[in-house]
Amino acid sequence: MGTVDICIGNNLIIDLDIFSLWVDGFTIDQCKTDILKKDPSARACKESIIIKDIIDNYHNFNRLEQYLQIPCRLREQLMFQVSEEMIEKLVERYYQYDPFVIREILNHKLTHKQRKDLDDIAEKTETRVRSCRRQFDNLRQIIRILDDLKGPIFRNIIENFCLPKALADDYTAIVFLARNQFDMSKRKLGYLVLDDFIYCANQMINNWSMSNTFENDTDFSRDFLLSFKELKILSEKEFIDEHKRLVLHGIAKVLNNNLTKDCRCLIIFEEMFKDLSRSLIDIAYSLNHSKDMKDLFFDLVERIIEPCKEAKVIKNEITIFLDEYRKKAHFVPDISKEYPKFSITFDKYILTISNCIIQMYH
Amino acid sequence: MPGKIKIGILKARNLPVMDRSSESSDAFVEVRFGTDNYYKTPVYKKSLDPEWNSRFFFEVEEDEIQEEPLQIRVLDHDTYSSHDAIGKVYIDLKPLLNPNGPSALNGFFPIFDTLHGIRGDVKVQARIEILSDCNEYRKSSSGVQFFTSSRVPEGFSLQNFCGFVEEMVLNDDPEYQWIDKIRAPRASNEARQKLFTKLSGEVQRRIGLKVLDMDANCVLGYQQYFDLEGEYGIVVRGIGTAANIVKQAGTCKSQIYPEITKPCKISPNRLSKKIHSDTDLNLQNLNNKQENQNHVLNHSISEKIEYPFLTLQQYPNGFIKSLCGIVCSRSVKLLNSNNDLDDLESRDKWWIEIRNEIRSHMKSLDCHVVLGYTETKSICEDVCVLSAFGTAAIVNQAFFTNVNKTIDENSLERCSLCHVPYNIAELPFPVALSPCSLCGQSQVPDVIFTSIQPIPEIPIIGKGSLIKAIVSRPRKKSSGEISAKVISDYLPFMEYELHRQLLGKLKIKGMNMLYGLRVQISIGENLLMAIAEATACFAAALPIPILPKIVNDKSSREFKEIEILKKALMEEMEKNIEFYDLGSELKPTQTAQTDSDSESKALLKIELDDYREKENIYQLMDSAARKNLPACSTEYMPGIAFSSNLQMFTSIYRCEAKLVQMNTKKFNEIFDYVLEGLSYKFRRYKNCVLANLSIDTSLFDDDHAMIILTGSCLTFGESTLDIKNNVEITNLSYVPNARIERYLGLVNLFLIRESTQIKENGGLSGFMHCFITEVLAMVRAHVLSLDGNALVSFKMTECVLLDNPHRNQGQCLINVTGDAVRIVK
Repeated sequence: MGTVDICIGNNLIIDLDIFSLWVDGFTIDQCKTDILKKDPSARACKESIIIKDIIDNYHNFNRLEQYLQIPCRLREQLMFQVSEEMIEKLVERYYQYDPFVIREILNHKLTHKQRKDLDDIAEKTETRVRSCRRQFDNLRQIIRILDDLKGPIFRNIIENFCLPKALADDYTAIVFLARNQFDMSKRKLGYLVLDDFIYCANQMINNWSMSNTFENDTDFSRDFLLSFKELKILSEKEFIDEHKRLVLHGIAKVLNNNLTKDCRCLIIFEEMFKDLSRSLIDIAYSLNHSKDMKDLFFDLVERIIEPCKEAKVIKNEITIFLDEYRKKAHFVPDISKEYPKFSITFDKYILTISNCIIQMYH
Repeated sequence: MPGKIKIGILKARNLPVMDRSSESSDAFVEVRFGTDNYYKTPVYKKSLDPEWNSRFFFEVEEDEIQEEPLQIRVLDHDTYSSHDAIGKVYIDLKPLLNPNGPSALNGFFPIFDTLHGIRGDVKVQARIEILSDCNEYRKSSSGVQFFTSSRVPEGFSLQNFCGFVEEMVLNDDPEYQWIDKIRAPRASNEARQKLFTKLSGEVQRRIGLKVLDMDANCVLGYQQYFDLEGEYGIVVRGIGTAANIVKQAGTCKSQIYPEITKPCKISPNRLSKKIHSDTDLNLQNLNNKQENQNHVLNHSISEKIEYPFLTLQQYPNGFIKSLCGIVCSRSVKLLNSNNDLDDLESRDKWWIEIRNEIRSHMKSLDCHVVLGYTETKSICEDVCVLSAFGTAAIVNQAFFTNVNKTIDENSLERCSLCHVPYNIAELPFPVALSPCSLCGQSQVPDVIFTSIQPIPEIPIIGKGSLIKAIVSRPRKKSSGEISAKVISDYLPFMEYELHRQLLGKLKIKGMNMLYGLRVQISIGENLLMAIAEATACFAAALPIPILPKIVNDKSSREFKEIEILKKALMEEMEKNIEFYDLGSELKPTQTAQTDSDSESKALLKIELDDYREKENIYQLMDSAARKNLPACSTEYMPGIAFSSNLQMFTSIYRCEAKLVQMNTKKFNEIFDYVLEGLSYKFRRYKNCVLANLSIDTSLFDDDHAMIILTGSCLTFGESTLDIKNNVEITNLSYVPNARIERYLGLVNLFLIRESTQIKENGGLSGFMHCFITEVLAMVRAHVLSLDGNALVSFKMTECVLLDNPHRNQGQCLINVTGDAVRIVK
């Protein structure tokens, strides 16, 4: 109706419902429909008034967005008078992500080109393009800012983006995945959801990276990865048979009661032991080469998980297997003579990787 | 006297990226004061958060500080081409001149650019060292405190009122100079910002000198106006009330009672001496006939003070003795009339004419003073309408002297303020009188209209309500003298129609008193518009309102229809009485059975001649008001005690007059729509009132109507809401549930914003939304820098929006004022 129709207050009073809808990329009209659906008190009002209120809010949000992109500036900016609690709510909501969208985004490099092609992702995940773009930009912005910073990702995210802990944890993992460019786009990985990757990434960050030093912790410690090379001795002839014996014995002990099901399990692992063990060691070996490392998830699925699944190994059984596999390796005679630090290195590797496998085994 | 300004330019943050390649800026700051003082900081390379830590000082004259703003300009250094401006900050140093004010100024200020808005903040410190000036011929008037709050400031007690002060300066508007044709709008707007800031400083300095001459120490209820007369220039006017106030020793929150026992500063002022003797007389004659007393008093005060006009809206207890009614004067003038006088003198003369007229109105009502006085001007091309408006009243003369004020306890009977101060035989104009409902002895009128804030002494029943009246009339496009004549012909009719609507609505509401009445006349090329808003309430002393009578001279053909109307009116009034809690004994009475003289005079008749009249009756009913949040046009709502300030809001509505066929009905719809929008916005909060609503309308040359509605959303009753603000801004002169500890000076910002990308930034709505947000941000920064935490009496005195949709351009000019204060909750 009017060419200007606005209402501004001294305090920024934000309708959080409308903010949510805005973050999700609703247009003004879609927003109105949603409000009418949810808020019975609005139904008594003229539509034009509801729309006007939405527009007022959207004006604020559009101005606010520049600060939301650098949330630490939100506290010192003078433009809006916003309460601390509100800032927290806004930031949390703004950085909320849709796991399906982020999963798709991580399939490709975060480039300008991908930003233009977000339509496909939007269609696939049934999300609005604007929402996809925001999630994409948020992720890219976080990575961009963190690029210049040293120290643990988690701490930097908390300090620079004022995110709540749980969300910062997730972003730490997502940033880690994106930076190391793990390949998650293979068809065989399609069954995995973002949470699986986040879990695995966190395992790697906590155990393999340099988070306790002042270096940037997205990078693995090179020396550390190189040390994985030494694990190769485990697949050498002289050790593998002994290891196999110990492991199978161990599994039998754990299973204890001789049900037919358990027998089957023992048989399977007996058959597969050499392949599995070799695969595990190969994967460790490949972590040195950044190109091979990108395929970590694919390798895990193709070489460990799929064969096991084909053999109808259930999650519990693989858990037992991996546990025994780790424990018994220390008892392989003479192995520490060949490589003195074997136990430490092996544990570091296999603990993390088994956790990942177990998480991905579904 | 020379003084020293010590300035520190410390650092900046969040600067914009001025150099794309390095994604940073090489910023430095230029500081100017007046014409001679200039300082430049070193360049801080490649940073968006530069730190200069430059400290330096300027030697200046005291009167310069009163007029000149400190100009801070942040630039991006460029080795090869000219430096790019990032933005500017104007800082008014006047608050530092006040001995009771803040000693230093320190804080982050948003860097404002007319084209890009706020771009980062710069941290500035300033301190003034000055020797006080005792020279009789001095130019400076520092030490005179200015308050925009239209009341005696909290924590101060009034010693005496000294009278009305006004000043006006005229200058060319840089936008209409020939050079404007060749320079960029940005440069032109910057020139305007600078000039207007300076002019308002000059007006204040000159008023200050007058105040010192009157032996007063402050200006209360200071009102500042910018009259943008286009090619005829710009007039900056200031009016206010000179007074003497002293800081109260104790910090009590109660209203200020004039309980001064210690001898005040003895001034050799003739004025006070004479009044002194008159007051003695006054006290002796206390029990004599009132009119006699009035006569004597009238004589004394209006002789001594040229214009006994007070711009305050709230007065100390015991000051007002009797309220007589609204006085108003309007005059239509042509800006280009070639008088022999120069421009400023002719404008001065116009205002003198108007003031004289107001004074004579006041005298004919046998009153001493005009309270709640305002002077406004509305301009359309070369025609302007000058208006002066106020409430004539009889007051306690002692407040004009320095002597101990004896409040006459007898006259402070609860209802005496409403009594008619005239002898029945000597009424200055016909009034319907009836015996006072409270004391039954004196006579009271049937309604009282005032332009001041509610007086707590007058007993009120029930709650108050907002009443508005709108009249709009199309007019033929004309110019010059014809246009002026058309307007002045229309004015009396519009005024009458406003009055009729106000009275009708008041009666249907079941109420009988108006507070805070404001009337605004706007003239456009094809349209004339008048808007009045007020807070209506039911004063216990005044008679129960009688419903408007519907008269029909025609045959009984329409008898049935009239009966329906009558019934509708009755029902409406009944609903109102219940809604506003006006008391169960109050029943709508249709007409008095006997047509006695006094009653018939008071009766509002509606003559039903045609269909239009019928519509008018429905318009008077204003039943939408009950659906929305309760609202009032005053700072206090009769019958409701506020507990907290939720939000101050500014609503702006602009539409094309042509498209919507602007008429009275349409305007009413727009207001209801805006109010409904506000009610919706605050729907989640309980117990809200929209207080101090003030409506500003302006009609633009290209037939746009803009309506600005400012107000405060306040809560009453127990509220769990506790809004923690860094800086509270309110258009009230107080903060509910808080005490003003200290007044830190006037904040007076003049800002212009332009854009060449209106469509890209959310249209004109987005542009205005952004600008107002920026203005509020800058106001808060100024308050914070003075060590304040609130701004009271916020007022947007000017808001002009121009646009050019074809070129995707827009420009807006805003002036805001208010008192920076420190509050304690």
